Amino acid sequence: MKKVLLFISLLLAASLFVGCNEEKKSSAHPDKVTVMIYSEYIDPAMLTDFQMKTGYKLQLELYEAQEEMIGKLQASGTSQYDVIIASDVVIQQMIHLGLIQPIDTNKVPNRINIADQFKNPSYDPTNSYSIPYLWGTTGILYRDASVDPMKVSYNMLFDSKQTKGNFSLLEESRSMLSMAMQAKGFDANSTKQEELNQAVEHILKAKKDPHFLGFDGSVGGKDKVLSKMDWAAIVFNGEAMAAIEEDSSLQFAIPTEGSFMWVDAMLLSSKAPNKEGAYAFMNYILDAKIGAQLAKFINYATPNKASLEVIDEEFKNNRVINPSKEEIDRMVFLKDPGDAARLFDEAWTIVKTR
Amino acid sequence: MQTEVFEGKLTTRARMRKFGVLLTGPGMLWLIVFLLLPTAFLMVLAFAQRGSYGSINWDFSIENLRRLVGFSSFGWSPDNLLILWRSLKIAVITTVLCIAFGLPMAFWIANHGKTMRAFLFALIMVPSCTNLVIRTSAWMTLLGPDMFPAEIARFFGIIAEGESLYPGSFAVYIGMVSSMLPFAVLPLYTSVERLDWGVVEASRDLYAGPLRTFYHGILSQMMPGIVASVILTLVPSLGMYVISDLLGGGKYMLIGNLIQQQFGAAMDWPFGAMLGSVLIICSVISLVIFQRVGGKNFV
Amino acid sequence: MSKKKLPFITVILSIIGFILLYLPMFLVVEQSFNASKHGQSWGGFTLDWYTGLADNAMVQTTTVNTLILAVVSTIIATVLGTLLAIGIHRTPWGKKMQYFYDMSINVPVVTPDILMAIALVSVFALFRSWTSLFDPGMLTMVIAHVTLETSFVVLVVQSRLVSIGKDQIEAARDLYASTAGAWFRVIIPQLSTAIISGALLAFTLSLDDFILSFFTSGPESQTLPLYIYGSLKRGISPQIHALSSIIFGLTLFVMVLMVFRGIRKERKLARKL
Repeated sequence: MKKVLLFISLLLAASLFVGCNEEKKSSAHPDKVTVMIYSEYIDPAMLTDFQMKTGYKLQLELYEAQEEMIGKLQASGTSQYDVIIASDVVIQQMIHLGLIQPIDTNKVPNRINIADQFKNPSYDPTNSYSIPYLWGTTGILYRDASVDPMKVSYNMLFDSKQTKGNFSLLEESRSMLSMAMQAKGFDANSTKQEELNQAVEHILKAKKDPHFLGFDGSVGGKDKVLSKMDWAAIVFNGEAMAAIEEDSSLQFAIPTEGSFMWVDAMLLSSKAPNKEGAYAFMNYILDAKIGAQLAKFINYATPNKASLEVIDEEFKNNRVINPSKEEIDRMVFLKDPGDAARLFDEAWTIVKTR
Repeated sequence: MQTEVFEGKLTTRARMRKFGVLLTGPGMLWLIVFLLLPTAFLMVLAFAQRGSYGSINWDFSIENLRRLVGFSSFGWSPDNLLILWRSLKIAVITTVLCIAFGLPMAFWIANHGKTMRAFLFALIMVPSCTNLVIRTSAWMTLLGPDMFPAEIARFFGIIAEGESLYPGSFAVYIGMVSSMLPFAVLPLYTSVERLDWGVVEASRDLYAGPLRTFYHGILSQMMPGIVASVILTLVPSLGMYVISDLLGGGKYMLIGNLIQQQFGAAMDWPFGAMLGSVLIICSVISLVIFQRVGGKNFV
Repeated sequence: MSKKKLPFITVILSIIGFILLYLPMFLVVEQSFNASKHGQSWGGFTLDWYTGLADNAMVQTTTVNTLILAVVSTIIATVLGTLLAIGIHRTPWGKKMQYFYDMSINVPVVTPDILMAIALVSVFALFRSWTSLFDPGMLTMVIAHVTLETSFVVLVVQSRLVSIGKDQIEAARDLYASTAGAWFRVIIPQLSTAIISGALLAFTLSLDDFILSFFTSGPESQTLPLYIYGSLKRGISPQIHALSSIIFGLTLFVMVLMVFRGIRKERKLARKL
């Protein structure tokens, strides 16, 4: 018994020692770049390719929800990370919380490849904190050949006379409430309590429809439409494209009342241990060929105009991935609600409780 | 100093306690530093406010407490109470179902030879080595419209043509029981394995019926195990929301969602801390009472 | 316990219970051979997901980290938890002290993961101003997991201790066993199932944990649950099904081997007698 205990304690001491050692190494290694990212959000082949081309080892830290990721950075600091991938809506917040720092544009020569619509965007007006990684849109995926995708309205879901089958709404408080406001004809970025109130009523009305199946993430909604449990669902265009590839009778539409698009951007951590490496990574992603490879792997559109020239025609002309000018004009970027955040939170609690 | 008999040995209370401190010392030190201290911090945080952009504003007030009992920007509403009620309902039903399946499983496993018993017992735990989300997604596919459970249900006329068994409360309970069952069986099996069957025989010898024998001879011996099993199922089910979101369609919010939302989308740590602190205090008090009443009075 | 005749309903309920546990596992295995990537319908047989695992460095390192974390934290938690349970149980604590112990043990059980994670990272941030040991990484993850697991071990072991009661140790003492002898020869052997149960419980808790791991992990200590939850936005990859099937198969294989060895031993023993 005693020998066993002794052995165990030795083992523990050893493992803790190894653990600490690793820690020390990690903070004093200038030859690697640490990126905070969703898993499977970068082609694994790029990890080795990046190391070959730049000499830096690419290390990933994974997260599920970006608000949790921000919480973690707030509590634990940013000194372990070089690049953070996050979407447009949280960029202003991250600047205010001091989690990211301006990018030295001269160090990222491939910036000239960025398409015009992503230069000076509303989420980064000074164009100094973010470099776009990928972008996408949000719309309705449905199984109905009789409905023209150019004429789809939110009433397809919200008006019980027009719902012809089961449907799911999006399980994301900010996005869903904004879409409901657009459906009512308000600005998606409105923070007026009265308009929010109407959005809540609008969703609650849809919730009473016997066709309402529930709130789903983009992947869940796609799966339900594919398996014919749902007739329509709100999904991102990447999922819509994957679904249409599997079943060509499905269609995807950006509602006429408008919708929102999003950009996942590369940001520079405020205490990046390896700034040079971070710039090397950003430059690498903005390379024409790499941008095309990334877009194909993840199934989303690239903000890289040079990549559009090397990507295959089919992908480039796919209306789901690269929407028309007219559709883009209908879409907005969502803004951080600022102090109205509590309003949105309480509105969502009501939506999900009643 | 007064000497007493402990464990058949003449010693003093103080000496026993000294040794007790030695035994519990490492564990308690750990829990004080890494558990009680953080929890205390949480309770202080509960009285702070959300600053702009999700930072923490250390102005202390009871605003979060007011909000907790329902005073929101939209006026007073019973939403938070409704959330608590729904979560409790799901947790209690899950626990009852888990004990209902867990008790016979514990007896059945204990009724095998030594090796087989260990094998079956380990078999209970093997599925838990696969991630919860993966198992729950598997249920989503399994309960879909084209799979055999739906066809069986259709054959018996429970659901109509083209319908599926999820989303809905049936699917939620299947998923909940499937993931919580191992935690219910563990302590039950541990107590069945060491049952004193002499008591059962004595009770039979005294002409007690099977029900009375089961109740007085078996259940009373197993009470500490049942209490542990209820705690291990009830409490985690109360905070569980992944399963009800995936299998129930996420139509309704549970207490777990509400708390998660404060640290996720809403980024309102102080309100989340307030929700959590109240939940922790209420459940610890009811648990300790439950353990006292349930665990010790029966022995 | 000798074999008893159990009511028929017991067997039926047990079988249903096992079906509930294993049905999703069979689907996971099936999906791992399914060629259709988005996995709703059967798209033909393939081994691609298994061969793909060999090239996926991220999955490999996260699997190794998950196992290290689970094993180390389970060992610490089991030792701490067992000592705690015995110490609380056998010592004549005063009433207040007893309440203090009961409360502290129950806190991790009732605290939602996310709150424990938030509270822990906040305190780690405080400690970090004194020592860099608390930088997010394997050490902080082990601390978080042990804190969660210890109470569960205590709960299981305690319930067994309560039902053993105090008579046996007194009986052993009456037969001239020393206190230590009585504990090691009489009580600990009876506790072994409970200790193993507690350890198994701790192990599975650690394997499944996402929130605590997420908030305490560093770039060098990513685990499998982090990978799985991180991929939820894009849907779970069939490679994860393949990996889960491998782990599932290996565990079953080891267990069956042990059963055969056990049966052989039992037979030898029977022959000797």
